[in-house]
Amino acid sequence: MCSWLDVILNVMPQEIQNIILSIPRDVLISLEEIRIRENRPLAVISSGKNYYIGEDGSPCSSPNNGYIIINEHTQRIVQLISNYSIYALEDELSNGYITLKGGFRVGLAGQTVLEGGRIKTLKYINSFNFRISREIKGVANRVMPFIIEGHEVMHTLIISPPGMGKTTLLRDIARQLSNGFRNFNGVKVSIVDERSEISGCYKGVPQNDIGYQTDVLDACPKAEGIMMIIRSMSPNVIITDEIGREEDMDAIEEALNGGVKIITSAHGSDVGDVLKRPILKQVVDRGFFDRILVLGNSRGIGTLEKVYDGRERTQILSSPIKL
Amino acid sequence: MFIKVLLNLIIICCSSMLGNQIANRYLFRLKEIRILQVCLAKLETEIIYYSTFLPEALDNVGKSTKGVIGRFLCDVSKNLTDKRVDGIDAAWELALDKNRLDLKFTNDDYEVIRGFGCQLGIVDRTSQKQLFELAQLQLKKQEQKAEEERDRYEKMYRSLGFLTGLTIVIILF
Repeated sequence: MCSWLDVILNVMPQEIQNIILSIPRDVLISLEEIRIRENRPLAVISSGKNYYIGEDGSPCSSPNNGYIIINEHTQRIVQLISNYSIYALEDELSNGYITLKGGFRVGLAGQTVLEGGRIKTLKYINSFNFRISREIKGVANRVMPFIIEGHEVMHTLIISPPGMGKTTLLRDIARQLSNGFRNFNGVKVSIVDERSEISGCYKGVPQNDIGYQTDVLDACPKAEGIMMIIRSMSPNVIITDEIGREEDMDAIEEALNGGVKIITSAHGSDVGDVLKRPILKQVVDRGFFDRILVLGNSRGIGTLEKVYDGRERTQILSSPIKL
Repeated sequence: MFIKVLLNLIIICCSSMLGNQIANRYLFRLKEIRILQVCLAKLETEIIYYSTFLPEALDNVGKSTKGVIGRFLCDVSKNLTDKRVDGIDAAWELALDKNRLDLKFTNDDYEVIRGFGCQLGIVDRTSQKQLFELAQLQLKKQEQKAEEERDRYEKMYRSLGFLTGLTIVIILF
């Protein structure tokens, strides 16, 4: 079956492997997340819906029938996802996630260990979120006309609530910009992938198809990464995920003024949400972005709800498009 | 007469060999403890300074070490990569069991090795370093004990073996 299953089952205890394998096919095939929490029932999210999974793999909405995860399970998962080497993953743990082979990310929660006021690592890890990212090639087909004008790529901000396919979209945009399509020649693309999610790097090598002309700076803080990659790889377009911190803005400004195009994303459900965040408001108000795309789920996950012209703040899209 | 002498010689040879066997246990135990100390130091470098993943680190150290200790470490690594066992402590235990016949450690030594093995790789770098320090300290102690025992018993068992043979021969004839 699909490769995510192999990767994820490989880091699960035998009992949980068996349960996951006996989940009905229709639920399994559109699985988005597997949630493991100590002393609580095993849960999965499939097609946007939450299910508790019973011992026989049957999905149900009531938590009472769910298979309860015990301490031995979580201990075993920690050992397996870290390849028995917690010490080698302290940086990853301090960020709260580990990337598995194939670019699948496992979010972790437990007790943080502080050093000098900063998070050093995690201990007593007891909650796991296995995120099954899917590569959907061509998902950006209908978005591309909005972010390219003639042969120019536009500065673009994608606004979306979590889980609406923002990263999947960014990934496909990177691939299309880099490979080129119809009458658009490919350009040099650089991805600053702070959370290893766009390119899904494993040991630094992208596991997803992100295009022939794409360079990735993996697990790198956005602000420093943007500056660094402008100097080192001379990209035409920089793609990065989830901006919001002050230093990100400085870096973006630097890139914009340096003639490099930026495509990035932020959490929110519409422009209004973004304008409530002081730092983002600044960039939007100053008209840095040519296009602002809003994703939602009015026609299913991954619906392009609105497209704004960034300067005039006027809507371009007449009705939502399901990507 | 000739056969008699031959038999006597055989008896003396056998009991001397038996004595030597027992004496060698003391000698080899000391050697193995010393090799293990070197291995742990190598492993510490791999883990603390190079952040090598544990199965790979164990395999590297195991391959660069001759004899039963090297085999043992390679076995632990193999148990981990094959995922046949539940967790690091089980991997360690399985490898110990497999090599038990060739290892000359005493129960005290096994305790130290087990205590070290079950914590390996599941704690952060700082604790990992402490774990290595503790294990080295304990091994040092075991080494001293092994040395004392060797000094005391090695020669004794060798002479005892020979003398027992001699006694049997004298009594018989």
